[in-house]
Amino acid sequence: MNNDQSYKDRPLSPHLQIYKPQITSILSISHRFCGVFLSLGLLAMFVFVLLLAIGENCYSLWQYFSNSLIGEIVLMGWVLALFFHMFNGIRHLFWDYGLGLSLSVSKWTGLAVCAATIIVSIFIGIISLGLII
Amino acid sequence: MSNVVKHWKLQRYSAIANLILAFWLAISILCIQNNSFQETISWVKSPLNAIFLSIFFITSFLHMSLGLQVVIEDYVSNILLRKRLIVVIKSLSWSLVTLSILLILKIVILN
Repeated sequence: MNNDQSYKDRPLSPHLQIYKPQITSILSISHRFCGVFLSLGLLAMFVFVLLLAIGENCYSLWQYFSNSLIGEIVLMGWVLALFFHMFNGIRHLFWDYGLGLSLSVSKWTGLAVCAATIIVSIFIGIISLGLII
Repeated sequence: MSNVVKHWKLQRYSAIANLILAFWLAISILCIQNNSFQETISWVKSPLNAIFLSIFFITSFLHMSLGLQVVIEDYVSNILLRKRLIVVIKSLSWSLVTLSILLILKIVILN
């Protein structure tokens, strides 16, 4: 399939750092980055169920992790990534129906995604610190 | 239906399922985060939670493997390495789905 020489001679697409950062491109790469980061979160969910199924001694490892400072930071990172990926995913689903594809609307919905993520994350942060409920 | 169309559709269907399930799970984990071992076990044992948790693992590992496949196709230019990585991701996610459902069953039946 690949004639070696012609494959090497193909032009490279411009690298990311050539482009001026814009909200549309930043959100696009963040969506992908959060997706990869959430794969680790899903793996952690699997480990959570694994430790729970093994028994109380192993489960205390999970409690030790989730109560440590590092654990809380990582868990909060997953919550943030989850809600960003979720809200931006809804934006993607609308795009699949051909809705909101114009530049002005996609900039506006991009800002709405950021705002919704920040609001929900702050709300969840407050709940998990035990300040309300 | 071609493989590409199947990939595209499955990615969207699993996304819609995860929209509901991941939201439910995030809120639930938040509510049970300070629970003891026994309380967490009884949370998993409740039938609705066990079923939702199992479906969550199926749809999210599916969504994950489809997503990571696209990332690998975009950034790994060595065709052989690309194919191998995709096989690793797919087999790993299907094994973890099977394992997680078995583990949930173990908790429901034996704990």
